[in-house]
Amino acid sequence: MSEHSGPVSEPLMRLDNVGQVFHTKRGDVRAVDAVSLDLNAGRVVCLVGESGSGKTTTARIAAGLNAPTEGSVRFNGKDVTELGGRDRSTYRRAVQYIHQDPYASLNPTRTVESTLVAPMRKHRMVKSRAAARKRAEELLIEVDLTPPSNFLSKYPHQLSGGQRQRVAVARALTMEPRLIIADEATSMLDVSIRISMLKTLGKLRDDLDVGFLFITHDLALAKYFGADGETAVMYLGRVVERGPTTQVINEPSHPYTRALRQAIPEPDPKLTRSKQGAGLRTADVPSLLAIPVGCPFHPRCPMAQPGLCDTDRPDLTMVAGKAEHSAACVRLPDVAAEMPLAAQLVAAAGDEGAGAAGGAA
Amino acid sequence: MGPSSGDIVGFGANGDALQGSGYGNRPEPSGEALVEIRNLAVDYRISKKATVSVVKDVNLDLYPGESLALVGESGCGKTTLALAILRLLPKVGVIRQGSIRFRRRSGEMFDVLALNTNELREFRWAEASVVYQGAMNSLNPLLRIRAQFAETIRAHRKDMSAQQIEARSTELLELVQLEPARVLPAFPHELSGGMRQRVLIALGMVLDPQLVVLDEPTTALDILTQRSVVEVLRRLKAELRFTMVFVTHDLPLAAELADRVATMYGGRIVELADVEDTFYNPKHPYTIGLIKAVPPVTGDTMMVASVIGSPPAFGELPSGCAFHPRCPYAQDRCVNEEPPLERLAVGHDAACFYADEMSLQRKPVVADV
Amino acid sequence: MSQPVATAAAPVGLAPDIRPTSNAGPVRAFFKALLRSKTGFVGFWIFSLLCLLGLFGQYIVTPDQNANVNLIYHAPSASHVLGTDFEGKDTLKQILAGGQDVIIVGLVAALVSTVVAVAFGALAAYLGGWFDSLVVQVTDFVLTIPTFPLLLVLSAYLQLTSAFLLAILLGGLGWPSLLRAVRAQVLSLREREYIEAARLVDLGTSRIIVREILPNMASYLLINFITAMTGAVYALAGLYLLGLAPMSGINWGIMINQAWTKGAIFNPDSAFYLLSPLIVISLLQISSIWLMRSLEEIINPRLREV
Repeated sequence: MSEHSGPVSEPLMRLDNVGQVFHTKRGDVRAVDAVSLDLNAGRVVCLVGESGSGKTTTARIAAGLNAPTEGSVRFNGKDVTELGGRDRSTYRRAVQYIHQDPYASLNPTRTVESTLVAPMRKHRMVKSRAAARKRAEELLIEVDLTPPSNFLSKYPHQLSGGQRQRVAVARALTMEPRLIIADEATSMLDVSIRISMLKTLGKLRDDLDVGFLFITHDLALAKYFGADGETAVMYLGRVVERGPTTQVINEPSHPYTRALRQAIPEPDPKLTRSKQGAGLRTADVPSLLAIPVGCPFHPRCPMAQPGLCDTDRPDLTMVAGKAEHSAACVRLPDVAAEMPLAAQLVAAAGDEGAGAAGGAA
Repeated sequence: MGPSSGDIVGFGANGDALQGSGYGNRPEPSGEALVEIRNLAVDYRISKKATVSVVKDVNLDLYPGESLALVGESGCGKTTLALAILRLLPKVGVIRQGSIRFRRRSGEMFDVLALNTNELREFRWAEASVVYQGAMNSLNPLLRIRAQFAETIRAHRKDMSAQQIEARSTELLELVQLEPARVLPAFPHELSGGMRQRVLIALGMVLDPQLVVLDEPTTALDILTQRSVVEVLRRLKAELRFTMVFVTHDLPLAAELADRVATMYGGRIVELADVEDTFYNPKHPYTIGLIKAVPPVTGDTMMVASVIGSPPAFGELPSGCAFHPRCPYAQDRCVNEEPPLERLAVGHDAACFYADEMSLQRKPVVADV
Repeated sequence: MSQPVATAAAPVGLAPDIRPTSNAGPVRAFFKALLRSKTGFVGFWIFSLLCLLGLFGQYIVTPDQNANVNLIYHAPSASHVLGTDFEGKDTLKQILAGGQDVIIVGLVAALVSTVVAVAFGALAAYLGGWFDSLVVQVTDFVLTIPTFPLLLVLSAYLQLTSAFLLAILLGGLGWPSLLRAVRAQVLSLREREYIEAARLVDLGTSRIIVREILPNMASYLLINFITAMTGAVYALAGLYLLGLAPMSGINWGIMINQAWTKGAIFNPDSAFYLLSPLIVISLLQISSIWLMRSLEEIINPRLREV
């Protein structure tokens, strides 16, 4: 878990062995199991996984929208369930959340100005209408909606998806948060504008020192946005690999992460057609109602060994030689050999073209 | 003219750089077209009097055995175009002009737009079929899979016996890597998203059509499941040799499966080229912008950039070239005139006045063979 | 589904949501949408006209005060377009001037029902927990009480002379089904993402209900209001027929009562005296139903005919 450089301090928010069990008619669903994360201002943690991995539930627990059934969430060192009135308010404001669907997260009957001003008024952050409008304009500039006067009086149906998502971010910023949890914030945006949204969020991280918990199923976006941060990969409710983003994505250690790398199509025909499937043993995806015994990935894992992988749950163990990189697999040393990645990257001499894919090992 | 000589478009097995010939390893499409689309324009009726143009000026040939990707973002008309080929437009869709000629196995050509209801029913599924997204409820939730196959077959072919239907269903499910014994008696909700998508693919193939249209076949599927569906499609195409048209906003999927790529913007095809030309030597600024906007997982992601602005909604197209407000190279001419889709080189068309001057420099990634 | 999916038309989701983006706010857009369909247009105008007539008619037209024995139950003629009543007084004037009680009682009863239903229904749905259970229990209990017989008993017992009190009584008995409808709607809206976002910025329960939830149910609330009004008018017509409503003055309801008690139903010439109030009340009900149809199309655009 990466921490601020400088004196060792309590992280701003810590999820400590958090778990979430849903009781349904068909049985108990363990959506999140023993997840621990540290979130700090100005730092990015990417949470990567497919559907059913528990990443959204974890995000909602971090945002305080769901209460975990196990473990605890600590804010500034204190358990959030024990926070009194004023501290609770501070916590609520310091941690904000961006929804995935920009078409559902704005009130259709409020103008942009009204949406932004409402929380300001409620918390008496401004003294007059004019001051509120001015602050709303500043926020719109922060999220790259310029000129702001063009947007203040618009209703959501008059804005594009990307613009709506930016308004949602601006609304989160009215609370002057220390942390923003972005749950698939770009999945419903058009492909050509996703990066610019991430650049805006990156600006908030750099200029306003806002920390991010970035949930996504897209490894490429995690690699881009979390380049200087940490990535945790989730599978069936557990973190199976974590570490600095570049290491986890460029040289994954856990068979599941490697399988993901192998499976992702790339915008490059020669490269992507050379990727063979990861050799999963079965195409069946286990249901959360029947999580496999032992390592949850073993029924599909090409490296699974009976007797070893189907008995005990592996814990996160350090990857050889990399202090901050860990993976939950008992056969870590053999993974690279038995699951090679298709591409060897070319070390390229550095000039920048107008282009995209470059190579650097 | 294709890529200039000297442009590197890939590396061979021994590590030598391959220089652009423009076509990679695929032979130039030749022979007779399976489908000839001319001047197609599709509108949607938005009220009793007003219509909005959704697709226009489409001239496209589809060849036997090839796979064509229709790539674009929301509002570009790709789904409308794909479904128009089978005349599966919603009630508000109307084909304003154009022709879609289809060649039967016998060699005879006919106009799809002129078919009556019965002929249309025969056409659909035996000559051409469609596979929708599996995540959406395209399967009847009340019918077992076995019954869905039976219904589909019987709707188009009255002459198959129950045993023949069962045999055909089994054969197809095996082709898509599903266990017939397990899948045939199941209800759709008992199957995972990936399995449902494969059932839909099998249903689409059941009468051995010449053309299969797939609408976003991997969207809403998990990464690992997507990979298995892509592998299935690749295998099917190699074995059954049908023509595949798939609609996607996911550029990497086109890189995986397509022989040719048609990029669409504002209801028109703005670039049509071989898959390698599209990705290594695109000539339309939108295609270039799209490729630059998609970060790869392998390689350096730092050069990505979005295209400014956002795709236009139906009915709100800018004047002249629809892309000009977002184009970094736009000139005066682009604001006033709409560039036609023009041949730049054999097998590579682009709709841009300045296409010759466009290029995407990218450093290739070596494939470890 | 009898048609196999394979040959079905394209999924509805294909057609984009083509509502031309206008620069109008929700209120203007609302009126435009309301008047879009023929039934909505006609319904809106007739309803508004009848309400205005009812509220202000008596200040413009004065019904005949003096009886005229020679004109009892005359058929329609040039001077008396709708004929005359049992005292020879002009029917048309009575119609034009006699709407106030009916319309006001309808409106006030609807207002009372709606306010109670919205206040408690929305709060119960949003807060959940014991408060919700309590409200649901009370509502279910009141729902089981046969409304109309109770109304009759209370009217007879209380001997109401004020239309206003009658309106309150009607409103007080009409809220349960409205409350359930409002509660169901708020329960579904509560899960919307913009409501969750409002909680994330800590807007507070009252602001969320009043500014986030209710404005998004505006058409629905209007439909409920109109339903309550039509229900109240039906009950009112029944009460007047039975003579249990305040019987002073002259209004549509009293006309119905007098048509019955004074023998208009036995005399073919006096048919108009009986039919006129019936028709005008029916017009009121039907125009409100047409208005509601239009409102329903607003809520669910798929009901629109393109």
